[in-house]
Amino acid sequence: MLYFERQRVGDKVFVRRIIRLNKVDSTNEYLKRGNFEFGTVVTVKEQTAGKGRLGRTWISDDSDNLMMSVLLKSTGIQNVWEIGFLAAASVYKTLREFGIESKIKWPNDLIVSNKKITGILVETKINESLESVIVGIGINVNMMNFGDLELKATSMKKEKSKDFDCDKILFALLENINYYINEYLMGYKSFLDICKSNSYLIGKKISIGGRIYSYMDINDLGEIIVIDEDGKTSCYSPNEISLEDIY
Amino acid sequence: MEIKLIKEIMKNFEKSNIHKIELEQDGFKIKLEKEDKQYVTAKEMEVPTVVTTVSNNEETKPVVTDNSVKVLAPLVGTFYGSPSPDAKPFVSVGSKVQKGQTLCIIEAMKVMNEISAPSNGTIKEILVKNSAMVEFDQVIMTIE
Repeated sequence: MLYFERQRVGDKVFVRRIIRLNKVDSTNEYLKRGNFEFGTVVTVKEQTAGKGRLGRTWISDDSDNLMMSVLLKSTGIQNVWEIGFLAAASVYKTLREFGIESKIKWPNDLIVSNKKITGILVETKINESLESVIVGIGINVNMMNFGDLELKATSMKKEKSKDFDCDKILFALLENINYYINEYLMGYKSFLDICKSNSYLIGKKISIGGRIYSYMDINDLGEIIVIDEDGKTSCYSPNEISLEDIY
Repeated sequence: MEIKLIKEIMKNFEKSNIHKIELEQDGFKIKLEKEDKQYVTAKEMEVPTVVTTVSNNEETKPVVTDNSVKVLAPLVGTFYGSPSPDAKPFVSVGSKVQKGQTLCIIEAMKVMNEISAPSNGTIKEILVKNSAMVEFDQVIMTIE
């Protein structure tokens, strides 16, 4: 395990230290177990039980992918869901800096060539009040073989046919997260605009409860606004619908 | 209880987000139950639902009644009693819990919120089914 101080970036630096692990079950679980200071970042080479929502497996092989989690202070966070959007915009910007154009699949997955390249899992601890927020991010960097998920997942290397340096991606990502957090704490939310204007759902039709809707926008509650054939609009949160049926 | 009143109760229950209700008046009992929200029909799903988000101001408010502490949902969302569908539940009725121990997850806006025990004690009741929607301030468990 190696600890080192993050270089100062921007006005306020939220990253206090980076813990690098060779192997761990899940970086989110690692942060939950310990008593770490806010701003701790954990990265790992091999995640043995990497997880998505509801314990869904996040697969990775021994090629270097970027798997990291950051522990954020709850102070100053108005709506936790916004942190997922903040992380998605940070990854979007980072991928772009490395020449990869992605789309943000509401609320917080990133898609390239209709395949998933990044998953984000935000978890909180509520102990009478919001105690901590953990943001887990998994970016497929140099992975080439996805087995059964070949049609559903991709990596930076697959898209660009070259190797990427995970450390460079990590530092660029932390800088972008840092930027958006500083902005957020000052009351600005440009990350929401990034999520809206680069939404994977733009121009898509979505099947909800047997009816076909057209995607319109994301509202201020983070819900999607959809419109049916009769021109009636409705709003849905991710809990209410599955986005499997997108055309 | 008059038929008209029963119909009125059924109508309001149907519209509400409550999944189960039991009423008793002058020896007459009525019990209404409907399926979890994720299985609602297409017609019902057209009704837009307002989503509450967690903020620093929202707190789990333990309410003490008799010797038991009610654990209230601090936000609207989907209740999960275990970290994944195949995993063991965080707690069961009769489990001894410590203050701060994770009792369940409430998912809202794809954020998994782990709800901690507000006090030491034993789980007396778990009042919500797995994958059910919970309302803000709904009693999800009791601890004694």
